[in-house]
Amino acid sequence: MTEHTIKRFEDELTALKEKILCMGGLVEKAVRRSMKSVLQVDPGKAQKVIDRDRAINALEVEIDEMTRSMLALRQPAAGDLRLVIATIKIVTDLERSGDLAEGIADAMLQTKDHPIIHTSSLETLAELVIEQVKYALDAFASEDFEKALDCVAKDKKVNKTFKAFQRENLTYLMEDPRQITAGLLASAIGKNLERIGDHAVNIAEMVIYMVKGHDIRHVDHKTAAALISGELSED
Amino acid sequence: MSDPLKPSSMDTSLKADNRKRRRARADSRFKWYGIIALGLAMAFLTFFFIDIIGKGLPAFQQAEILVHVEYSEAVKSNYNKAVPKKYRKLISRAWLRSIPMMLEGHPDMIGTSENLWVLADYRVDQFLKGHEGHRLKKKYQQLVAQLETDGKVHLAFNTGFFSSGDSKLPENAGILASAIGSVLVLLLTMLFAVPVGVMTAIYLEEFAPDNHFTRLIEVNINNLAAIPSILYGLLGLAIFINFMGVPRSSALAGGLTLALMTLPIIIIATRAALRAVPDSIREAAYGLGASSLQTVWHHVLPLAIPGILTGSIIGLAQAMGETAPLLIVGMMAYIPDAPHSILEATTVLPAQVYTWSAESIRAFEERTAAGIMVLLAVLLSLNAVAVKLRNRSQQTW
Amino acid sequence: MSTDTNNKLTIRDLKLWYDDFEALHGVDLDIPSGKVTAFIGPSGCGKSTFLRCLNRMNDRIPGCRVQGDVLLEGNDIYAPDVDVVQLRTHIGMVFQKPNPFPKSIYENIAYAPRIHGMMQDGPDMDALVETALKKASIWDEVKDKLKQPGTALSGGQQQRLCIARTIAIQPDVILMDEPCSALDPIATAKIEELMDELKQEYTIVIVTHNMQQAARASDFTAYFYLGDLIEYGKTTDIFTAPKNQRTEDYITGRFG
Repeated sequence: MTEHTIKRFEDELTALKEKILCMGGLVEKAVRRSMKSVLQVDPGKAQKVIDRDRAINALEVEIDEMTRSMLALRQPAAGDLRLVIATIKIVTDLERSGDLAEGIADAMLQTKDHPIIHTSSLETLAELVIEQVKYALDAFASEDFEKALDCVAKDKKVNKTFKAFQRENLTYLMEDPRQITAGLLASAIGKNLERIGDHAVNIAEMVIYMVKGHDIRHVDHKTAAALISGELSED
Repeated sequence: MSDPLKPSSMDTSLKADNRKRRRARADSRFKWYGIIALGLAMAFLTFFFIDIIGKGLPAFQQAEILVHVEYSEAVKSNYNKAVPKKYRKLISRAWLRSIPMMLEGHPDMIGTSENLWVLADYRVDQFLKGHEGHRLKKKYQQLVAQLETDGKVHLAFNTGFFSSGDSKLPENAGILASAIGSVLVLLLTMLFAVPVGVMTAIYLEEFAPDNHFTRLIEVNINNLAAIPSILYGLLGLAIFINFMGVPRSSALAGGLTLALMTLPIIIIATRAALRAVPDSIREAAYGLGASSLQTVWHHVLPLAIPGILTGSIIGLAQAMGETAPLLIVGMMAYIPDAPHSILEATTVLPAQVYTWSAESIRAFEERTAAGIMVLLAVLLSLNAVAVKLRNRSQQTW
Repeated sequence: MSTDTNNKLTIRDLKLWYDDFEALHGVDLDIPSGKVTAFIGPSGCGKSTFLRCLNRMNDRIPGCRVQGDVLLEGNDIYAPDVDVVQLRTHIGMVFQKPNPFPKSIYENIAYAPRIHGMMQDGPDMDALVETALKKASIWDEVKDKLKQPGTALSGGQQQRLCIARTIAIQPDVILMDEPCSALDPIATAKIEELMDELKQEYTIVIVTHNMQQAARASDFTAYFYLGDLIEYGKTTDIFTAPKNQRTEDYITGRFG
């Protein structure tokens, strides 16, 4: 895209994107670190996640302020407008993801006396979700709608893995009642991961809206692909 | 390298340095050149006015003598017998000559007599006004002095100047004939030049296509406004008198010739006035579906009228003061009587001024100046009207 | 655009030359009935020229040549038997600079119906003047001073008077050539509001330099660039997700 005639607007748009990526980086790190604390049983890491959440919240407020002033003063249109709107939505999803990561760290701290023994499914799920988050953020950074579509597509696998994890967890609970606390905490962590994945999907959908101008929320994957390639019109 | 355009934070002095002072001096010098030029122009104008008014004002008074007039039968054949012999040379021969004719018109007056203030000879007039070169003989000078102490000679308002035509006798010469001539010529000029000029301008400005031919016409019209006016006289002579057979020296010949001269001025002024009408008015009219004629007639022309009038009046004023072309069509002649039709020989005010100025008798000098005063008064009032109209037209849309 | 039968004006392959310069390179456009259609684009892109083709105002310009079809409800307005005067009673025009005649407000409205023989002076004419002024939302402001000159009104009022003057000839289409470029924001808003009301009865085509105005006031937007129609579509689509990169660049202020 060519440069904006008004240099300061261009600078503001660039700054906005950078702030989102910065926030995304923090969130991704928080998710990674919270899961590491769970898997490596490292309460220090968990505490770090909880401490760092304030930075994410601060960024959310800052980005909201930026988008507000851009809407009021610059009256963005077309691609710029879509970027600002997508930003407003993405920021909420990121903030929620940050909170969910904090929730995971919080749950980990509670497992001190009841360590989670069976972590392999949780690890698989975490890998998938972290990859999903990474895809969404990469798609945003490079305005790559194909990557965003991939991210959306991953959701099926995440859901499947999550269900499998829940069934597995349930069998452990039934096997050994002493594991109930740990099992419930593991279930909560799994649920948080699954929801982080959902937020990543939201972000990816917003990236597609931002790049292509199509709203593919609440449509099936095939229709979405057809919309994007221009075979279908929106009406 | 430092930025040469950076605001200087160091030097915040608001006082003028040498260079600025020099610049200020140049400014005031320039202003004074203008004032001097203006003063010079004013001085010339003042000198001209004082000279003309000083010379011309006495002409509005004329000497009259109170004499005993006898209308005997003999007067009919020898008008000199109407007045006492002693005073004969003091009385205007123009008046004396008119007695027999008057008596023919009023036979009942024969045999009567009366005391009458009659027009004095121009020599008496000049003597009374104290002008050098009055040419009054010594013996008459004493007589006039005597009459003056008796109150039998005085200076009265010169009605004859406005009520009679040209004459070889200065005391009897007036501007009436030439003024009527001027009015006739001007009316004819207006009648020919204004409609033709305005229509030409409207066509060129509003209807004509913009091509080489119309541009050629434009250039020629602009050039015509600048050529020496005497050429119009030659043109008028060739076309109107020699080719069309209009009588020489007639108001018609003069009017047509001056119309030719005024045409370019009117065309240029009208075009300027039409061009000053904003195009948005034309667009508005066209946009509402008005035809070209309706647009021009209903909207453009009414807005241009003040400008057109101004241009026309200035053109006519110029025509009124013009002499050169009229010289060629024979209007610079001795024509004592006012014309009764536009085909009769006539003269005009500036021509009258010119003929008087060429007379050898000194008494005509003050008539010349008085004629100039009348001409100037008319021209200035015409220009005043033009200025007034121009001010009215200076509204914006 | 779909081939909707509800099109007021249909333009097919319209080309225009000023002497040797081709100002429009074949424009195809359907202007829907009862909607506001906006033409946007940088200066000199041909949008005003195109607008003026629609009621043949370009006829006045020497050296201007038009080729292609402009159909008003199927009738070619460039057909040899078309009377331009008649055409302009169907397609009225409002100009950039408010240009009321330097006559009374009443005269401004009554002029066109009179010259077209639609109506003689009298009570009918009074009623027509009132209706036109009411439709242009200016009646309340001028009803007590109909005899005063139209040029004494404020800029915005003058422009609404000009719209009323156009309405008085009962056109189907009203063309507006940057009608708000000389007006302040409040006066502009009033004109935009007026357009929104007028589109119930008239088809409105507006040329504007102000993209926000096109966004606010129009239903359809056409983007012109260098004599080409680059993109045409619903205003919401053009302003949120234009299909053409050049449109995108222009709308977001990245033009160049």
